[in-house]
Amino acid sequence: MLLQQLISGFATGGLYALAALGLVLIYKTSDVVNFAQGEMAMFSTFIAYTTMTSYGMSYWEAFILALLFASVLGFIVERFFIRPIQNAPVLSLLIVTLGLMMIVNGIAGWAFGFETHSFPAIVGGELKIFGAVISKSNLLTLVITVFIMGILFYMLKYTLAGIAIRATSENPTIARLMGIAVNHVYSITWVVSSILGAIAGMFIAPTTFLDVNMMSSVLLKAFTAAVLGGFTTFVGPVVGGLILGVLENIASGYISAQLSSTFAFALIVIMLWIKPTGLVGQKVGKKV
Amino acid sequence: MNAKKYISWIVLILIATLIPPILNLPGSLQYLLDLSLIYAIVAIGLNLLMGYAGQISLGHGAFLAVGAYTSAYLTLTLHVPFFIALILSGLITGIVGILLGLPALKLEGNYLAIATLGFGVAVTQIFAIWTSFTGGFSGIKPLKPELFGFKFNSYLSYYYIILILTIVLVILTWNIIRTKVGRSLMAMRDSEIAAKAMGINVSYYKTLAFGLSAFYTGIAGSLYAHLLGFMTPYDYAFSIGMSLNFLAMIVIGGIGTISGSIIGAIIMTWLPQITSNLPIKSLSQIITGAIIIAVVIFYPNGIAYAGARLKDKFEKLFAKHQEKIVVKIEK
Amino acid sequence: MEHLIVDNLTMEFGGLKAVDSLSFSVKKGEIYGLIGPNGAGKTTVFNCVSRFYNPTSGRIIFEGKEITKLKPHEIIRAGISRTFQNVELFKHMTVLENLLVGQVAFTRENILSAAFMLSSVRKEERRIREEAMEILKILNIEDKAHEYASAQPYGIQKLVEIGRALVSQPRLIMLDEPAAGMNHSETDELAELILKLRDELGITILLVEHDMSLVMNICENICVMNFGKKICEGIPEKVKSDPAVIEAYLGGEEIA
Repeated sequence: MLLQQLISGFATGGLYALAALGLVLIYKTSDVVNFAQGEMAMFSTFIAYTTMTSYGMSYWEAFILALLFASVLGFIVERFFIRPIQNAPVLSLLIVTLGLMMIVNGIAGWAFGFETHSFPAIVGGELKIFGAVISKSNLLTLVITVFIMGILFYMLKYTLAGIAIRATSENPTIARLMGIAVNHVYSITWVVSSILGAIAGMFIAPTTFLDVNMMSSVLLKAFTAAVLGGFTTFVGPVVGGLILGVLENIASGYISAQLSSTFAFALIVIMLWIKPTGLVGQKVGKKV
Repeated sequence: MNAKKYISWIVLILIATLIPPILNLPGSLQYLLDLSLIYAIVAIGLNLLMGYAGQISLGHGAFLAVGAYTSAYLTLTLHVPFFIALILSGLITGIVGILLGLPALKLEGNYLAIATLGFGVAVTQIFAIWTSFTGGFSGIKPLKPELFGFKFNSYLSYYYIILILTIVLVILTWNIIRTKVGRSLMAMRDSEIAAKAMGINVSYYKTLAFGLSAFYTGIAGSLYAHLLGFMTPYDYAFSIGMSLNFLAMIVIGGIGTISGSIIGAIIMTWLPQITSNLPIKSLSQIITGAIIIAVVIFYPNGIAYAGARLKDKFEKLFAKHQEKIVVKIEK
Repeated sequence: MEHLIVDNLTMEFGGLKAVDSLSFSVKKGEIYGLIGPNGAGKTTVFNCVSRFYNPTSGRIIFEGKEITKLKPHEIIRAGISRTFQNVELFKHMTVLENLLVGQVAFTRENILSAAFMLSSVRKEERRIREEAMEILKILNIEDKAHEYASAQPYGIQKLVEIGRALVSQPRLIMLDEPAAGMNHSETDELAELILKLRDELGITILLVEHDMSLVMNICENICVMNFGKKICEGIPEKVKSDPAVIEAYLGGEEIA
């Protein structure tokens, strides 16, 4: 029972972590908390769904196509909505992403309708490990999530683009002076973030069903995961996402399914009270 | 306040008083007018917290719920008269606000946002299962207010209760922000360190800002409950979505201004209505989103400053023109 | 009479001693200079006195009372106010409003009386406005009263900060590098102003400053710090010729 909940907790937590990484990537480079992230992911998931059902593509073809679409969407949003006002106050940028959230959601409703669809899982069936019943798709989700994170961290650490991203997140002005094309970095982070969101969306859709509002709660969770782990590091959201996923699963299993988010949030507020900068965050103190 | 500003407020109040009976709006539009003033009260409260005290909240929908259900409970179950229930709802929500303000003492920016967001989610979840208090999914029916035997049954008569309260709250807010409390809040927003050195107890004022903001929202919540006549915890006005809408109201209208709060509330309440007759179901949402973005891009300080900016532009244009003339003369 | 006594003050940051067993005392009505090379721990001393930092050990005594346990916002009521090295003004408020904030600790209003604008509040508001304008006149910037603080040139901002510290009618004022970023004539005016504050308003002044000629001209006593420790104390003439001081500054700034 506990093992079962742990595994499915890790699986959902991993997905929160993916979405949260997307948020943190953008936040660290351009200080924007992208509230439209969830809706963008929902849209990409719908693209996958439509190509599968209406054009008869296979799961993986649709998957790849959705990711391509997500990259284009991420690029467009950054280039045409965020870049023109990149020097505006942070709160204004946040409101712009709120506006985007409404627009993307509206267009999705227009294009795909408001019905709920069932989205296929990668694999069906269950496994029995040590007496715990674990769904194969949960396990595979977990594996793929870990794999993607591995690639992402490898890129951030060793590739030129990754180094440029990290430099920009430390100090955009100096990065610019060092010859880094900061605007390209912004584009890349929005593209990568959008892709991460789309992957999370397509893995979450089988469990929550696909409709235009499916991602709003996931976005909340991703945001929470990012804050819980710390907005200032790339490891933070992963830790935060996993903790949140496990907490939620355990709370719904042992306390109350209806109040699972309440308990998760209560615990998070307590944790933040103890360590206000997130679990892996560092305090940036002000000097006088 | 100078005379010009004074007069323009009086004209505004006159318009707000006279227009509804003259236009004789259909019920649904009068309802919307009532609603926009209620939201204006919330926006003023939120602006006190964000625009003046510099604290963020993504949970004001939950404060609205606390105010609404407190008022409903007081009037329906305890048979407290409406106007007393109204004040009590404000006070009780204010106390809840103070409690939420406590984590704010240690948290900043995104971390505070998440704590308030968590509060918002928790309140709606708790209210949904606390059926003895909220009636749950089957809802409850708050009574129409009554004063000296007169029942405020119509949306129009109720409008005047809301209008008077809005005016009173605007005056109180105006007084608060230009005296000691307001100055302390703004000082804390601009530099916490200097504020401390100037003798401002930052913890006290942060908590106070949350309490005050929640008080306004509680009053609005009570008004909202008795406007609805039927409510459930699943009402959109209590959701996180609405909390984000409140945020959009003050950013669009103007952070740190009272007039901006009112303008923003009116726009955000009427925009979906105005665009709802369009042929495509979700087009109103798309247009609302687009207008929000357009306002932020073209009026980064909010619409309340749009007038000032136009004047400024005009003056600059004129000044440039003058300069050119001077240059010509010198030549 | 000893106005401020810093007694055996130590402030450690993660094992590093920013201030190391420092003792000095300032007499009432004195202009006292705290100098030393960069990183000597001068501002840390200020931050301990204004209670932003909790000293690791040692005591700070002001007017015979120990203030080491007070909270930062209680210091101004004790009679000490300060300015900041990097100017910490309230940017989105006017110059006058900045000064009014300096009065907050001494304004008798509460949220209810203010919300209903009782006549006592009106009176109080009038009083603090008049007092603030008075100070702006002394600083010769009363024409800037209704302009935004952030719109002022750096020199004026420094004056506004001093004004904000003055309106609370402190008995001790701590100035953290007031002359930084000022030119010669501005510095001369500043020196005059500081002397005026002491002579006419009777305020004790504790000064951290890099401009040596300013310090040597107006300070009666000077404490020289290096690596958190006091290396010399006394009148300007003594300090100037002290070998330890010259050593500390060698290759650094020249002693005027």
